[in-house]
Amino acid sequence: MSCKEVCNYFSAYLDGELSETLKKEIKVHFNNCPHCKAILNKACSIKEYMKSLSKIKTSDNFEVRLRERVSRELTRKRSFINTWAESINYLPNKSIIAFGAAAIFVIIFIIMNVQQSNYEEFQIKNAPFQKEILNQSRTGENIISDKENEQFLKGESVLSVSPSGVDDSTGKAIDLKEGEQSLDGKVKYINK
Amino acid sequence: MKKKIENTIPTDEELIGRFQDGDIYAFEQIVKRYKDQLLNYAYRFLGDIADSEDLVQETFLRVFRKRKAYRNIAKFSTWIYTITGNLAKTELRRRKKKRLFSISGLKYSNKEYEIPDIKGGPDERADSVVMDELIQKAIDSLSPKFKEVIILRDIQELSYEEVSKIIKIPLGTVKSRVNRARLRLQEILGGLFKSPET
Repeated sequence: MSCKEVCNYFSAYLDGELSETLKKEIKVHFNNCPHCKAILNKACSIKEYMKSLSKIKTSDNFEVRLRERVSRELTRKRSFINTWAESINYLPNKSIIAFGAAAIFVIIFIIMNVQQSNYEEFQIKNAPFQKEILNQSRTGENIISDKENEQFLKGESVLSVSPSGVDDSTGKAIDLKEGEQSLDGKVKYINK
Repeated sequence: MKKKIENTIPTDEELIGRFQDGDIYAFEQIVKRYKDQLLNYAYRFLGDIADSEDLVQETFLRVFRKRKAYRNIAKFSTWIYTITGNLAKTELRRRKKKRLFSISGLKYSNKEYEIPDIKGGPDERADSVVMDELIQKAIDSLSPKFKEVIILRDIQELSYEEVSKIIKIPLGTVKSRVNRARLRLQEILGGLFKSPET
């Protein structure tokens, strides 16, 4: 066994973790190699000395200080919870506040939904107009005046020269006779 | 007829279990059991007694806060040593950044620390203190990965298996690092020791 190989087994030899065969082999090497033997002996001495290194003890007030730190930590946690709980208690009437907040949310929700449905309804109802205006603009005709167009865009009623109106209940275009108004009253057909 | 004497000393795992259930006295028992050994572990890492004591206090605070996190899969000692080791490594990194790491060895603060009386005359006691300082300096000169294993194995006298679990490296790697650390220490300190025959 070479010195390099034995080097890898120093610790295991010191700790008694080698098999008997390997242990004997290494011992033979130590007996024949003063250099490795010296290293081993020094390593052994250091290892033994490290076990007997002075053991330091904690200061007398270690546990008292620890107890204070633990206590401060607990107090801090409790105070956060208490502050939060107290802020709720300070409010005049918890149930009124809760009800009020819920009511506000519901109202906002309803308003948003109504607005959305109004907009959609407006779009559906005026879809034929939109198509008509587009068609007219494509053909170059200017059957609906700019004012009427403006009214239409504002969602106001428009006099239509198109024979179609919009069925309010279904949102579908319907044929109108001359002078007839659509069911929603928004469209009146006039002959050109 | 011999009576069987029951072992009434609770295990670490029993104590932490009781503490998890709300028994503060169990926590105090854990503190009493581990404070000195953790202090020595931290001290060998940091080389400063005051800082080491603060570190050990922080370890116990973390045990207090995270008691529910401990699971009985691993030994309690593994868990608490891991916390201390991680805090020590963090502190070393912080010092490295601030370049506050001292190479002067032992540092004394104005706190009184009990160091046990060493038998023998004044010369022997002085020699012993000097030797302690030299050993500590030699340990400090090791790289962190060797320092860690040598402290746990040769000073704290933990088994290879436990060291492997604390540091979370394979057993073979622990043995290899301990081997190299010991060889390195004997290079540094070899001249000081007249060894017995092995």
